[in-house]
Amino acid sequence: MSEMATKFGQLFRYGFLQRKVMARRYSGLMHMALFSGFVGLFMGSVLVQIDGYLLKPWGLPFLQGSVYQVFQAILDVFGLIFILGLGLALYRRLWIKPLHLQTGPQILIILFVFLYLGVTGFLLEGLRMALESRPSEPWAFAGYALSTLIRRIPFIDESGFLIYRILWWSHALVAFGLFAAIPYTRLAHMVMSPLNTLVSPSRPKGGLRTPFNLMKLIETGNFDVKVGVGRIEDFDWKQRLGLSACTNCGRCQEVCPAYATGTALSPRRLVQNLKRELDAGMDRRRTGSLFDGVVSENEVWSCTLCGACIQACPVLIHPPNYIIELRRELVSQSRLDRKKTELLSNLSGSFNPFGFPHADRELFVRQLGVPVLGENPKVEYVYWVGCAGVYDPRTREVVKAMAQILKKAGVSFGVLGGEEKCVGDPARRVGEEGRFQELAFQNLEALNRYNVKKIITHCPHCFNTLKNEYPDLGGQFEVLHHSVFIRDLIQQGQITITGGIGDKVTLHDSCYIGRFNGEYKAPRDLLRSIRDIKLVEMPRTRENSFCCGAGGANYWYEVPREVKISTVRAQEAKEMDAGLLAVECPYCLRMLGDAITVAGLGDTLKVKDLAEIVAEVIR
Amino acid sequence: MRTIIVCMKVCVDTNQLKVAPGTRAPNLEGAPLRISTFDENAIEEAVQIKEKQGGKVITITLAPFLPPREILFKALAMGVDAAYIVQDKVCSDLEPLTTARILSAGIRKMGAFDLILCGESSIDQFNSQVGPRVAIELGIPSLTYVTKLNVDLGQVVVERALEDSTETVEAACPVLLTVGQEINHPRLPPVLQIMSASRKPIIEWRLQDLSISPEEVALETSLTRNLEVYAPPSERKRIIIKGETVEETAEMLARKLFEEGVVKT
Repeated sequence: MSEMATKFGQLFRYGFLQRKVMARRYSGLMHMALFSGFVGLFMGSVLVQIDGYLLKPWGLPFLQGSVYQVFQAILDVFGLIFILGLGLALYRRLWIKPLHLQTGPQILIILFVFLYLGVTGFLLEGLRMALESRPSEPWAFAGYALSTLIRRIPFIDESGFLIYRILWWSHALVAFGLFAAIPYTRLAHMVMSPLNTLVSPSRPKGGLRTPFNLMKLIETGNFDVKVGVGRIEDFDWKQRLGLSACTNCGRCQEVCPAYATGTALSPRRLVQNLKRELDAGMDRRRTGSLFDGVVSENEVWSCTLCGACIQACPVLIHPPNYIIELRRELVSQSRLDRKKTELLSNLSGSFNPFGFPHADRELFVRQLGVPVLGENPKVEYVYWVGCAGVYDPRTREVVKAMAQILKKAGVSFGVLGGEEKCVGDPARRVGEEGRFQELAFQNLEALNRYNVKKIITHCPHCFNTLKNEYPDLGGQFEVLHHSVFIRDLIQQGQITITGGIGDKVTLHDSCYIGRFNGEYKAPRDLLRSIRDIKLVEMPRTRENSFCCGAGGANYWYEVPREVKISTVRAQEAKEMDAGLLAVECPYCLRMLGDAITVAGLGDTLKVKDLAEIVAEVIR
Repeated sequence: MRTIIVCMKVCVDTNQLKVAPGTRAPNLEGAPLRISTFDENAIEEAVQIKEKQGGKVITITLAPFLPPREILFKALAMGVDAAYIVQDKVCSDLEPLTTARILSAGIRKMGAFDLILCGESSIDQFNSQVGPRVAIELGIPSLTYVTKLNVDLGQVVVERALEDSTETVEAACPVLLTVGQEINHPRLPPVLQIMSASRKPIIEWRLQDLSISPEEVALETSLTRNLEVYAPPSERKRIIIKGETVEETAEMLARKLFEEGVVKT
């Protein structure tokens, strides 16, 4: 029941109040004007019909007297708002011409047709008042003003009624024509987009859908599961509804890091191409492969799954959902290049994406001198070290800092050492669900064997997978990102900040902590609790954060591009004039650190993880 | 194209080998196994031909015990139609001459074939002999180090990688080819497909099925013997390269690499 309430709440918030549409000022205002004007005028017309044809014959008309006067005034307001909206729309498309907005004959015809309806609506009102003079018409102020002008036209008394009839019929025919055109034009969004807000999640969701359960398949011995989507008809109804809801507004493209750096991907183009294929399929039974001319492989691999497009979409479309299904299809056809194959081989063979020996995990934690779960099974927290933490020299510094902090705070924790394997995120994001689940089940066996309840991790990808994806496979844990954990340690006084930074600091919000899991406050509280610090926000901050480029397994392979995503973000950080760029993720640490070094800025702009920053200033 | 036979060796994954501290001998106990890398290229090439021209791909493997099922399923999932294992516990550490003799007996038992594909060498022994020796046993031509293969109407045209040049050779089927990493990029079947490949046939043969007695091939009868295997100690040079700028450092590093002969222009 409460699920229904949430869904209708979404319809109200995003379909009626247009909350996400309003996120952009000009187009938000424009669309609100169009939407409310249209809905107001439409409902007005319907009420007039109901009153005239249903209620009047029964002697119960209500649109009379003062009710009717208010009614007319309100409709006049709606009419003017509607025309204002149309004016804003036409100005935007014909004069401003933003790059991401495509303007073709269809949209212009529709806008002008609406303008015709809006204008003739007022003309009819004014004409009627001019010809039929009734008392107290000034309430309908726009019509009234028009009528005084119309009365001055010399031939109005002879031809007035004829003109009125012509206008009335053309208005009616055009209006009905427009309604008939709804399913065949972009006007379909008037139905599809609100419907989509009813069924689609309103925020980026960290966990991907689990298409099967490997353990259950092994039990039954039947592995004939269709994974991924290669043909348009294989998308389920919710996905197809999402495609139909797309209004080609282009906001997703505006914020997409893959698009901004010249890769083959534009989320708008992808969704529109799929939508076109869907529409064509409904007529023509076209059942070709989507990779034969609808989408390209590079397009599909270029996505970093950062969720910026989901955040931007006013009608709650999730482009990454389609991309993941397309990736799963490519994987099932083994259409993977050398790097992706190596990634998966490494995960299967060495349980880490780097391909380094698995034995190094145990060696590293022993060197680190932290409690290992095998010998200390009753600790309160498991510190999940992750793969970069063991195999990437830069990230090892983060782990050392974490160990320092946890020890100083007296936290009861342990690490899994050799019993920890990659959480499987790269495999899942590349579309190989089987290898993801192989790793997941192995990890779950160890975690459940030790009866683990709480996990701390410094890596947002491990965090997201453990928290949002492992439950589907049988593991429910309280998972804490280190930004939250360390912030709490500081606030509870378990560690004391004794030092300061003495510089401007800017924070790069990680996609999987910020957008996908809603945590923006903890890293900022953490930074503000350090002395002598000036926290500045980059233009693209919080839910508008610009991806570092490593996500969607992109760290492990290359796609054709004009410029690196990390370079673009590093440039944005540099322009803040800060001495320190704080990150909360090993991928971001590597990507942005490398980009800054290559740009020759390594001396003026340092990149550090939150744990490192804190470890340097505590007693 | 009727039948392509691929000689597939299952051996230790040399990337994951650990070395015993004293003797520096490889620790083979519990070392993970895999299909020899170049044999995967051979399988991939065979499957690509089958996909274009039809036919059947069969693998033949010689092993002391039945290889782990997931490894066989991986080959089957790549597109192999049936996997034959000649299994006998004496079939361990055999010299290439003996291996070739047994494999050839197995291939003769399989019947007519158009093509035999082998890896240019195995990743554990690196003898590079088994392919050509099998060809001699079977009385067919062998073309080694093939980097490009074109099969059409019973004729193969191949490019062979020689040290400083490429040779183009033509031969009539049946012919044996050995291939390396350059020829293709072996597909990695998703786990689901590997698991469902379990339905394809795995046929086990004993030596006596090939009319060979274990005594014939026992190690004592071999003409060569492995005396010792160890990893040579390698000392790190520990040279630090640091310049004023990233560009300068990169230049210095590149120069050093050319000097050491690690990179050739």
